[in-house]
Amino acid sequence: MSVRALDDRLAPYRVGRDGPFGLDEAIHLARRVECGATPARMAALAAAGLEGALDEVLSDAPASPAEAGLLAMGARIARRGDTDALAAAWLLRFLGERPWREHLALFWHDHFATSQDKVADLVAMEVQNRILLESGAGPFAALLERVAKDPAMLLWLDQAASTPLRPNENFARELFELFTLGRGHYAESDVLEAARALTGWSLRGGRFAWRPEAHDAGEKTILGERGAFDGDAVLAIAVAAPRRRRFIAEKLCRWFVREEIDEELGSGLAALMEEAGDVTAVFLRRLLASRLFFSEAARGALVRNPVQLAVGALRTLDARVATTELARRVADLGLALFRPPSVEGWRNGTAWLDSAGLVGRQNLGVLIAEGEDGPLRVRSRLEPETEGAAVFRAFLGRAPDEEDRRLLVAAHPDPRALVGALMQEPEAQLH
Amino acid sequence: MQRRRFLGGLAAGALAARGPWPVLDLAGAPEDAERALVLVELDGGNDALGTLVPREDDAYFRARPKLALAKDATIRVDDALGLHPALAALAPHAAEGRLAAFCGVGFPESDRSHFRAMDVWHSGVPDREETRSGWIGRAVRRAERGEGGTPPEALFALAPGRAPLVLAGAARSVTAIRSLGDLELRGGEEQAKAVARGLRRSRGKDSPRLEEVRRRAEHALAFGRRLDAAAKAAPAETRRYPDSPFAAQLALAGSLIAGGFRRSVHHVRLGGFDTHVRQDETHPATLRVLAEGLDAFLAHLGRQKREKDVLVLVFSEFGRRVAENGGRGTDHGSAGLALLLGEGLRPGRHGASYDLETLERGDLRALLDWRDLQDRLLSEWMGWAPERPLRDGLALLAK
Repeated sequence: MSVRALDDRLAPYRVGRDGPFGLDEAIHLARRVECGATPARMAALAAAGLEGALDEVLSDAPASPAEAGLLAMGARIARRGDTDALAAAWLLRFLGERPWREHLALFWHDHFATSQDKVADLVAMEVQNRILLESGAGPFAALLERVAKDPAMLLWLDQAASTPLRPNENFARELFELFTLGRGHYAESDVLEAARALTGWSLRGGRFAWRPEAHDAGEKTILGERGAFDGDAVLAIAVAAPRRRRFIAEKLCRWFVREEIDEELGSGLAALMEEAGDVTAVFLRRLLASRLFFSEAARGALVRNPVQLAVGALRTLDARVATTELARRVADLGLALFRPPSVEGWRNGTAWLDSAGLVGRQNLGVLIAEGEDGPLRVRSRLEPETEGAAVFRAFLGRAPDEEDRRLLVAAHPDPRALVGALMQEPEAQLH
Repeated sequence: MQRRRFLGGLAAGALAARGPWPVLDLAGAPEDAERALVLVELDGGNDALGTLVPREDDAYFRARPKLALAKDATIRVDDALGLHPALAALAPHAAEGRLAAFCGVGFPESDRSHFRAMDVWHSGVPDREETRSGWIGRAVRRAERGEGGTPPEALFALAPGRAPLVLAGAARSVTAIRSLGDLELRGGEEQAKAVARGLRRSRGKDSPRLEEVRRRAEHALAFGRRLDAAAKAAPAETRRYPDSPFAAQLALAGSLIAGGFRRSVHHVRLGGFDTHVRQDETHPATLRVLAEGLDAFLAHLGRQKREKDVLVLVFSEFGRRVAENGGRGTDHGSAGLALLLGEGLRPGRHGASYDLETLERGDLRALLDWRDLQDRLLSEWMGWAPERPLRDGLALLAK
């Protein structure tokens, strides 16, 4: 059955018949995928047409030497044990050449939420971060296996401390509840049996180790299947469970497109994931090319999380910035990279906009407007002739109207002042 | 099956309430229109048996060969129960009658998922996937509509991380802050003007999402001024608290209450209770942070002569499994422990102690429904209309 039949909203957006692909559509696409882009890049994306723009924002170019250098820097920082500096290094990559890969890695960081606060091993956290970056766009099963067997996760959910006599249920439970299926799609007994099957997974010298002597080799029944399963089998069963496609597909849709998902759309997303062969980048491209993505209901419908807001503002300005200070400010807004509040990840949507969060966001705008004189030391590399109206449109997602003119005049000619002023507005909290 | 047993257990006590709740002793308490409630969330599922220990129960020692605390090590509360020694800072409060305890509080059909259990606790609606409002928020909404009691001056979410659902549902906005200076605009009056302009401009735009953002931003701008006034009336006392992020939340609650928000509800949170491994190392440290923070908070209230105005409820999403696991830890359970702290209560254990002989899936059975406890706090402490008819919540606990 084609996706089309399941839900028309996921059919490809046909430029012309379903609507245009102009500057507004390019801006919508770049804000959602890259968190933001300069007015010049927005114009280039619009000129490239829908397919060309998708090729560009989901570029499959390999890591450049500069990006490889940043990754190597992250590994060095991790050995020093400086979490703030590691978060800064990640933000620096976010401001670099392949923002979509970083954005997807952030999505997975929220999904497989692991915190340095318990793991207490920054090298392991950095390794996990690289797994999310390298495998985040690929097949889900491969990503899951790498994350599950990675030291950070083995420590985070205590799998490394499980014993056959009394198996630890922590990882088994979150595997079903948070990583693959969601509540209501497995039973308590599945958790207990999976915990038995997962025994034997361990750590030795900071690496995954299989210890057959610590494995419960008996028969188990997991999600209706019976056998002498081990941990690999548990992952395979979870991935093969019918609900898994929908669970992951819906979550990607809530992150990149919109939060409201009805029954029909949920089934359509699952079918789309199947057609995409469970490869995240393929699914994402189909999702972004859908009528749903460009529909009125999806425009400006998501709350920017603190990273999306800060990175969006700075990418719009093509800015250089003091990233350690930026990481600290973003953490103050509630998104401390490498330190999610729980295994459930961050609460997204309007939960970001509590009283202190909103004032903090507005104050971040003031910091950006302060430019080099402020603690963020923001320098914009935008062409001096870039028009304020174009910056306005790239950041806010709509053209300025008559009443916005005063704001443009007041900020002229410093684009940092303009973006900072726009960050005082309710509209800037959305994308 | 499980549900029937739970309800059957409750049926015996599901009589209409007779007279006031025996847990509170309101002689000397201020008018209910001046009372505050502080909700202390222990995140991760606090181990009830390792907090208020059944020190005389052989079944406890059998279930916890590695983790059980020696009888003499605990701080005596009564013949059957003792506090974990890491809670030493609470010992004087227990001795002087400021601590009440309920063993085995839970919901029907408990779920061992942290997130579901926490949502259920906050919403107070176990039988629906209700994640839009909480039991406090709805009670405030009733008060705002004139259906009983005085609405609070403010609802404060003081913990970093996820917003507490329990406060959601009222017409007034929740104020989420980490310090008295959190709503200060870096750019001063000029920035305030810019924010106000943005609010004006976004009004009437045809987008519910934008309207929600506007409403929240409006609240933050207006409340910032009130917070300034509170900060001037009662300077922060952070230095008289222990150095922990948790104590800082309580210090802020203390300053807000002392600074003029007498009628208010506060939510604070302490994490680290998900003790799947090495509980003997991690749980005491976390309990110490809890006890020392609460002790400093009660002292703060005392210095401000507010000790009679405030009741503290300590809760967690669930208690842990009775039997320990192989990693010197405990896994997720169901029924848990509730503690109340304050001047206006009758101290000690209320209702039955733990029943370690009759477990459900290895978990403590719920002896008291959280909703009955929540409703009593709403009606008898805050003076708001309860959600359900009050039931003689304690009679059913008599063994």
